[in-house]
Amino acid sequence: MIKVNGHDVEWVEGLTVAALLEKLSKDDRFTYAINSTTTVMINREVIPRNDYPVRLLQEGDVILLYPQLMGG
Amino acid sequence: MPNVYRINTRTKSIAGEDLKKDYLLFGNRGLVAKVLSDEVNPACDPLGAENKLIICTGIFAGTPVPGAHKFSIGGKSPLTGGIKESNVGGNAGYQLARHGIRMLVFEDLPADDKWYLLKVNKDSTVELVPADEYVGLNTYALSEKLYAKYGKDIAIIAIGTAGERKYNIASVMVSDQATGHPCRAAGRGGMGAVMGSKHIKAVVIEKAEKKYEVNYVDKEKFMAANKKYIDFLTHADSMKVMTEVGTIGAIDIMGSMAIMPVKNFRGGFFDKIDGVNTKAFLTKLKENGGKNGLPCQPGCVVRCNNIYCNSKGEYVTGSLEYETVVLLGPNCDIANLDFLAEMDRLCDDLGVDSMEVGNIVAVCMEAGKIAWGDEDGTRKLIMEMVEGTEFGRLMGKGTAAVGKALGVQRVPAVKGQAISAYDPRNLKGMGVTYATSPMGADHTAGHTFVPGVDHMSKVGQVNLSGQLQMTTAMVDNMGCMFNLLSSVSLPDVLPNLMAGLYGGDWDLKKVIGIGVQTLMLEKAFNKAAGFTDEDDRLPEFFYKEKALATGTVFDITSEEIKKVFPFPS
Repeated sequence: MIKVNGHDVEWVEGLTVAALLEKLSKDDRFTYAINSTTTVMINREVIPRNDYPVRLLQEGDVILLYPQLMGG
Repeated sequence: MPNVYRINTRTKSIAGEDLKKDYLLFGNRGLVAKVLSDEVNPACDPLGAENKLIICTGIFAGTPVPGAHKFSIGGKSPLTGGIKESNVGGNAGYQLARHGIRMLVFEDLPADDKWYLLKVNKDSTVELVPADEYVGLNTYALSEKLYAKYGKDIAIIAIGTAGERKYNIASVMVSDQATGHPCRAAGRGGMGAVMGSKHIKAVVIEKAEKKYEVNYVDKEKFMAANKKYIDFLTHADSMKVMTEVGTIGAIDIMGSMAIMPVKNFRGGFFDKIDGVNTKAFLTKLKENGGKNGLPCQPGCVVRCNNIYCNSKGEYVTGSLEYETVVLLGPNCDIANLDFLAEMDRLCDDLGVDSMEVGNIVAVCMEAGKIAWGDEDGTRKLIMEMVEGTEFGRLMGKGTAAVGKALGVQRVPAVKGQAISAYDPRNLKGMGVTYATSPMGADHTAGHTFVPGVDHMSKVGQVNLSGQLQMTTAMVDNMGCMFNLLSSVSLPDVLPNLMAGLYGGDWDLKKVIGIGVQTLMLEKAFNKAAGFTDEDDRLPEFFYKEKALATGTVFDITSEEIKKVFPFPS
C-alpha cells in the first residue's frame, strides 16, 4: 500500500508516478487533484515533471498530489 | 459627466469631479491607497470625521475583460487600525461602470441621526435620499424593499445592522448577478462600520439609460489581447475546479495536506472531511436543486459562484465559499453543509465577515464557552451578534478582542484581523503573506499555493510571498484575482490590454509596477498609523506548537520576513 492524499492506494512493483496518475485520474477521490498543473510530492520531495514516467514508487511511500487552485 | 463623486455626509452636498490625472493608471485597491495617502490622516479615528469611505472600480471597468467588475471598498480599518481595501464581486461594479463612475468618496460625519442612501439615477445623476425607514433592517429584507421601490434591475451596495452598530467586523454586502440577493461580501476589515459611521445605509444604482463608452487608445489591440485571455481562461486546467465546483473544491486538497484549519488551527487532519468536501457539496447541490458554475458579475467566464438550497429546494444562500465553510466548519469541528449554509446566510444578512465569525466561534470553543462541534451553540453565538447583546457586541469587535476578553492564548489574528483558512505551518508562504500584508492576515493578498513547491519547507517562501503580493496588488487594481491572476502566465496579455486602453509601451514588469506602487503607499500609510516591523508577525503559537498532522512549526524568522519586499517598509 501507499498513501495518496491520506487515502490508501494499492501498490505494485514497478509502479511509476505517471502510471499512478493515470490510474487515479479515473478515481473520483482524486478527480480535482489531477490535471496538467498537478505537483507530485513523494515523502516531502517535489518530483520534477520530466521524471514522472521513470520515477518508481516504493511500498509505504506517502504521496501528495496537488493542483493549482485557490480558496475564496 | 464627472467620474468621481464626493459625498459630504455632514452637509449632504455632492460634488462631481474628474479623476486626477495621476490616478488614471490606478483602480480598485490602488485608488484606495492613493486617496487615503493623499487625503486621510493615518492617525485618524477610523469611525471619525477624518476617515473616508471609498467605493471605486478597477482599471478595466467598463470593458469586456472577464472579472473586470470586481470593485473595491476601502478606508482606514476599525479592525486593524491600518489601511484597508476589501474587494467584492456582484453586479454593482458593472452598473457603476455603465454610468462611467470610477469612484464614490464619502466624507465627514453626519451632525444628526438621519440615515441616507446614495442613489445613482438612470440618467447618471447622483443624489442622497432619506433612508430612515430602512434602519434596523438586515440586508436581505432591505434588498427586497429596495427592489420593490426602485425595480428589479438596480444593483445594491448595503450594510446590515452590524454596520449600523459599527461592529469592527461589519461587511458591506453587494447584490449578486445570479440572484440579486446580497450575498457578495466586501467582508474584511470592517468597511461596513465605516459606512455605518457615515449613516449611509445603501448605495442604489439604477441601470444607466445611456451606457458609458470606454475610450480606447487602440481598441483592436485591446480586444485581441482580451480574446487571447478568454481563450486561455476557458481552457485552463487551473480554472476547471473553479467552474465545476467553486472555491469549495479546495477543501479536498487543503484537507489532505493539513493546510485546512481544524479545531482552531491545530494543524491536524479533519476526520469528518467527507461531510464538507467536494463530493458532499456537489451531492447537496444536486439533491436540493442548488446550482454552481454561475457568474457573480456580468461577463465572468470562470463562474465560481453558487446557489445553495435546503432539502425543500428553497434558496438558503449564495456564493458559499471555501473560507466560510472551513472556518465555521472543520475549524469548529463541524461537518454539516446545511448548517454551514444557514450560518453563511446569517452572516450575509447581518452583514459581518464570515471568516472573522468562524474564527470567533473557534476561539469561543477554545475558551470552553461552547463545546467543539456544537452547532446549536454556534447558532446562538451568531444570534447574539444579530440581537446586539453585550457578548454579541464583543464578538462584533473581532477575533482578537474576543480572545483577549476570554483569556485565550491561541488567537489566530495578525494586525487585529483573523487568519483565513490556511494553516501557516503547512503553507508557509501564506504565513509570510499573513504577517506582512498591510491588510492584516489576508490570503487574497498573496496566495502562495502554487505548483512545484514543498509548502511545509521554509525555503524560498519569503521570496514567493513577496513576488505574489506585488503581483496580486497589481491584479487588485484591475478586478477579480481568480480571473486576472492567471493572466500573468501569458506575459503579453496585460501589457497589451494596458497599451490598448491607455496607450504607451507596456511590459509585464511595468504592469506589476502598479502593484508595487500600491503596496508602497499602503506600507507608508500603516507606518504613519503606528505600525512597525514588530507587527509583521504571526501569533506565537504557530512558532511554538507543532502542527498535529505534520509536526511542523512556523520557522521563518522576523529577520527573514523583513526581506519580503524589495523596498523599505
